[in-house]
Amino acid sequence: MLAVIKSYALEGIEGYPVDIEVDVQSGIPGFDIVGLPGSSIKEARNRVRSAIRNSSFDFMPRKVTVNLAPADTEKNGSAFDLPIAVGFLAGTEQIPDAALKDYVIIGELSLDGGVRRVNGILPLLISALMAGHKKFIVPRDNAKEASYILGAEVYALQTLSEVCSFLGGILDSKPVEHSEYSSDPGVNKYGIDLSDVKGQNAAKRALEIAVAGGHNLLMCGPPGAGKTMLAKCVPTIMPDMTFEEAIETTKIHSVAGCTDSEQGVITLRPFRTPHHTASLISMIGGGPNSKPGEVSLAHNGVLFLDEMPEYQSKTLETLRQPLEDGFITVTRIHRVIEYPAGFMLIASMNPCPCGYDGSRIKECTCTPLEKRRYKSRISGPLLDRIDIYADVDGVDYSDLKTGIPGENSAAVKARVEKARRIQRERFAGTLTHTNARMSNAQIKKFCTLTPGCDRLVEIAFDRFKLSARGVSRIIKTARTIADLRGGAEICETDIAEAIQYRVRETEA
Amino acid sequence: MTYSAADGILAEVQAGEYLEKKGYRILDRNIAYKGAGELDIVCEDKKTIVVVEVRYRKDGEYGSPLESITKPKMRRIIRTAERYLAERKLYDRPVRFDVVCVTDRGCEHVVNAFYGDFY
Repeated sequence: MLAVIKSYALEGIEGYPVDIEVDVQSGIPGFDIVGLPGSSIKEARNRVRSAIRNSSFDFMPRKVTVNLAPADTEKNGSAFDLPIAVGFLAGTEQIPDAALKDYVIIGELSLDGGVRRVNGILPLLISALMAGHKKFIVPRDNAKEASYILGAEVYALQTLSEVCSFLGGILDSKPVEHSEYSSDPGVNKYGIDLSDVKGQNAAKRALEIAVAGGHNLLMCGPPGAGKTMLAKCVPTIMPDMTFEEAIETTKIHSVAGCTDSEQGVITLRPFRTPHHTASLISMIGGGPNSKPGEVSLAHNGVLFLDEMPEYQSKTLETLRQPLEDGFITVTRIHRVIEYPAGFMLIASMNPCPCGYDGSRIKECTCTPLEKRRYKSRISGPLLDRIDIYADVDGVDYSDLKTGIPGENSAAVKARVEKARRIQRERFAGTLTHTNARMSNAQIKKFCTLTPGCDRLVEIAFDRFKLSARGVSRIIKTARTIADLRGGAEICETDIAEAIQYRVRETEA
Repeated sequence: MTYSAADGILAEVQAGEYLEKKGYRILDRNIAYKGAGELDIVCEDKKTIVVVEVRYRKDGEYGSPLESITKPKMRRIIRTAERYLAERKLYDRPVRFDVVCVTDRGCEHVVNAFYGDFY
């Protein structure tokens, strides 16, 4: 007998429907899986056999052919275990098949007949829901993640026997209750606060602007000045994620398999800190299954590159496309996948190998050649994509000693939230979330410059030999500064401040 | 310890009696094809064709007789069974491969000892 089960497979962060056809015939017993199964699916038959036997069903010897349609795309992962097992039981008439066509079934099996969690439940269900499917059977451990999808009737079950008695109408299971998203501000969970960083007021201001508008930031200064500490404070002043952003980010993390089943969705903005030995693939994504890389995991959050010149130049250069476009295209032989990569880059570096060039603390001991070599590790095109350049020099002892704490993160975060709110209203109905991601058309529309501002930009353009991109980035930064101030129009001080963040001292 | 041919024949007779007692209908014994393998007993359990491999072991011997059926042996049995089923036009019937181990203490019956693709 033939049984057909509906399931879904992942292609990047989208799901596509897979019909699992299980044909059970008499004859020499065997169990074949066709339709380009990857090795993890070929192994499914062993799991399916044990799970069926250990759920006290009969794995009767029959000639079984399982087809995963569409048969021309290679499929991977273990999410088909459960539908294959259900298909076998329906094909051997051990369970009724009347209810099967209503459900999309996803789940991995353990040998004892339990249903294990799978990666990518959120994107799979969203795609299936958009295709018109309403009822889903998913692993219990994925329940929380699935509960955020409005309109889906999700049944989260724990064992194969539960699934079968549910499909047979014996077990009455309630669909998972819909969870309301809350951005979860609560307490500062990061164990660090901006008020812990003494002095560095200029850098803090730069940080605030960068976070408020999603601008890329490069901090430069001697060792021990507080660059890393400042960067670690970034999550504490980042605005809470909206539901749309949370879903976007969770989709990627779900595909990568790093969501936890308690929480379900990612509510805190990602702060990714890949080490400088990170390989190219781990940064941009790829590998046999075209997994998302660090740039995508940092989507809607921060990618922090500590000691930027230490990264392989090849790795750094790959950041250029995602920095500009907000997505990355991972091309492999079998598939081309586009992952979102709308991250904010925060990088830190020393001004020279010894670290004290231009510092008032210590004399630099580097030769001009050493300095030049060090600087050349970061290419011009990459630097051109950085909107804000902040010098973080060492602090005075008096600053360290004074009991006057600086502003705490909550106060800064409130201002950032306000600026982001303005941006949300401005970009309502578009795909843009932040000023930094404005298109040229949007710049024209939202950033009208007064003649005075225009004049300032022109002077800067000639004096500092800016690029066309440089100009648009200055205007975007100025827009954010105006938003922080609450101003509707960009004024000359905003432009002036934006210009001075753009220009590196050494180039002036 | 070596077995004589008589031991083997005796074991197959014992196994046959045992299966008949269980309600199986014996269809054939000792099917042999030139160049292919041999089927010890072919019987019928209701609608299912059961191909039985008979093993004989003295008590106390090391290792289960099941372990003495290697993958090439399974493959040979499956190949022979295919030919048998084709000849008797039985290929649309469910098929099962069993092993009956005959020991001094009696018969041990392993249902579904292996599948058509022996995993």
